[in-house]
Amino acid sequence: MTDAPKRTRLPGRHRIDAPDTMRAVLLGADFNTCPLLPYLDALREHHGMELPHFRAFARYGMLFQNGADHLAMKRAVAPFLTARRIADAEPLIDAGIEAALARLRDSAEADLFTGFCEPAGIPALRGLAGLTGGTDAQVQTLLNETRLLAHGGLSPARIQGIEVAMATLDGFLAPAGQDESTLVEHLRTATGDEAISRAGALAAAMAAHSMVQTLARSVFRLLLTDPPGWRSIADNGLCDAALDRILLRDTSSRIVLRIAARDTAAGSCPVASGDTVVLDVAATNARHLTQAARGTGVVFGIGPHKCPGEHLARAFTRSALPRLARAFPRAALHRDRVKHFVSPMVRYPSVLPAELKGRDRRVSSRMVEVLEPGTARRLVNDDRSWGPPPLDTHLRAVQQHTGTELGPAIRIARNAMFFMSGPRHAAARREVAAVLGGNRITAWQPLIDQVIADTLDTLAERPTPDLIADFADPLFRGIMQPLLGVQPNDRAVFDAEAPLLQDVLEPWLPMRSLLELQKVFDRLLGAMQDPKALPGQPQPLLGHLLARPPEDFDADDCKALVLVLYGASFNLVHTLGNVLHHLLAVPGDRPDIPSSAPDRAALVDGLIAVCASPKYIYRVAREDGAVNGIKLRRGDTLRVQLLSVNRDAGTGHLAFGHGLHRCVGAAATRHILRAALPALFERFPGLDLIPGAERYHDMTQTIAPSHLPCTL
Amino acid sequence: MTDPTATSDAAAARVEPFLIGAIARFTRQPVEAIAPDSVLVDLGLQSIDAVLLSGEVEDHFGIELDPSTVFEHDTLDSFAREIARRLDAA
Repeated sequence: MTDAPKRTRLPGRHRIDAPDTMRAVLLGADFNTCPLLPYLDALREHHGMELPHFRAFARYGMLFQNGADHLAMKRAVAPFLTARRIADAEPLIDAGIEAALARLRDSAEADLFTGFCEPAGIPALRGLAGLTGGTDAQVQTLLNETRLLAHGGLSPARIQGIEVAMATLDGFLAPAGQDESTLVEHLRTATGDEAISRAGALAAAMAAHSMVQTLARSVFRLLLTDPPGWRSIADNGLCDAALDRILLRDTSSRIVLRIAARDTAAGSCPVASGDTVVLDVAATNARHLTQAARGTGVVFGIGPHKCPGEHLARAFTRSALPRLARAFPRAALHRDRVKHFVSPMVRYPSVLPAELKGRDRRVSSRMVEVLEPGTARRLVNDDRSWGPPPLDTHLRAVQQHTGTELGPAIRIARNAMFFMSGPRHAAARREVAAVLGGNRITAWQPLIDQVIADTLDTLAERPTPDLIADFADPLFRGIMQPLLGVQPNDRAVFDAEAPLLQDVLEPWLPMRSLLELQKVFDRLLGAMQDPKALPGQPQPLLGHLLARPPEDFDADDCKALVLVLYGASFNLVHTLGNVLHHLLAVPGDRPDIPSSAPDRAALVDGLIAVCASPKYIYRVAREDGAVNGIKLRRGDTLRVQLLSVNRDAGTGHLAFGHGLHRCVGAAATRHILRAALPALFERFPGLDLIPGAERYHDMTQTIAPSHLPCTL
Repeated sequence: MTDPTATSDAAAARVEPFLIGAIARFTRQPVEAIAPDSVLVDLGLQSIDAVLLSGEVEDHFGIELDPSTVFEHDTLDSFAREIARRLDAA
């Protein structure tokens, strides 16, 4: 058989997520780690970049070593990171955690990543590796710089930045003979080679950053989706089984790469020498969770390249998570300000802004913020002492003082139920309930189901689907415009400007914004026609109002009322977006949507409690008084922060407010979510978010996702 | 690098008379009754005054200033320094 012509074949790339195949690859001798030196050689050749520390890392870092070199390094490092030594180091580990907590004690809010997860781990990491020079903060910054290593294909400039960071860290390593209990000193004794000892200690310190990343993922998941789990960790700490599950769910690594050393196979799939095998660690670990398969997944890997830092990572997580949860049992996450570090290799939240204490507090000389459920409940039940912000009287006073024409803005304020009180408000409530109320909304079920079906069809066609632009937003417009009777003469212009309606919620609007907003309202009001009854649909709200205007409402008042309600119903888009993010934000967690109607109703209401988009409920003091010991003057503003107040509220949540000003769109929101969620997940069972790609509108009053790119 | 507090002292000095005059008008008090260390809320500034005051500051000094900023400062002097800082930055 003549030799086939040598085809230059691009090395193949195989993705593995079957646990048994992954074990075979990791345990077998046919696969090696990806060497980094060839890439550095090319940089030296083409860019003249020496990169001494990077090269030492690539040569002596176990992550990149194979065969005899790796075995020798492993034999040198392993005796240092034993369970025994880590147990002895627990005081050092705990001290770092307590120091980080102490710095948070007197702050109300903090970024739990740079403010806790990282600084809590740095002292132990420094102490064990032997990074005695510099400060915790410097080491934290430098390690952050080196984490970009996890990105493949870095630009020369980025690599140079990492080289500088490594060189500085290298300078922090303890000189020889100083401290027996450090890894660098241990390696000096074990290898007698200074270069190997320094590179080995640095590589270990850089690799240990992953324990901080994994802790951050646990904090993100627990605060976002499992407050009861947070509290049980505070109360009971973490036993081994609970720790296994947490590490399995929250390890920050996504994939591990291997290269075939010879023609071989991975499971049933033939692999040619030089091919890359992508081990999808995250998918395998997620599978271990659902099937309770044997073994502990691949959190710390298996075989020759098993992670030597397992004992340290376990000791750190077992101590840090319960201490944090005990210190701040009522912590609540500002989900719209979370940022994620996402690379092909790892992903974790790198910014975790959270309310720490949930205590009522004064935020300015005219505003007190209420975070405690008890205070909030008393407040929303006492309409005598606290009223809605009197925007109408405020605008009349501004008009009178400045002589500026604010007629249109006053008409809006006069007909915005959010700001109304007294007989007009009661009349408006009655008429709106006649169309949107719990018992009346069911008449719109056919329209709701049709719009959901059509929206799912167009979503299915999208090349780059997004759950806001291609699902929540069209669903909202398709249902709320017919329901409210919003039939603009020029729909495109109307839809483009309508979101600005939401700006009216900003307290103390500056004059320039007020005048701008007034023009927008005028244009939108002018675009609203008397709604024609559409075939097969009940009478929309505007039609109902215009047929028999409530007392003291003329036709324009009715249009203004409906226009403001349309602006308020944007919260349906935002809340649905928050619910979808909530259900899909933790990769590997599959949402299970119950089939029975009562269970679906309970699920939706529980999700609304923590995912409702309004951030605050506002009340203004009608007379001097006090709230939880905080003195207030007449006219002071109270801002109820729903994030903290609803944290553990369950069905008693205030997401729709309470009493006289309870949201008139509550029934419609529940009804639409109960239909939309099952339909979406039944149609796309494999629906998932693209990790870390969510984006939020920059809104002060609302938690509103602007982008939720997904895969169907 | 000039000392930041020095420059804003001068700027604050320029801003204070304007603020004292405007607040005296809104709260119907004689100018003499208002001093740099006066507590803004004790002077009786209401929500509407914050909107009007920030509007006048914007027009007079050509900077952007939201009404809520007024209430983030206890004393007139502290508020004047904030305006001065924004003037230096503009």
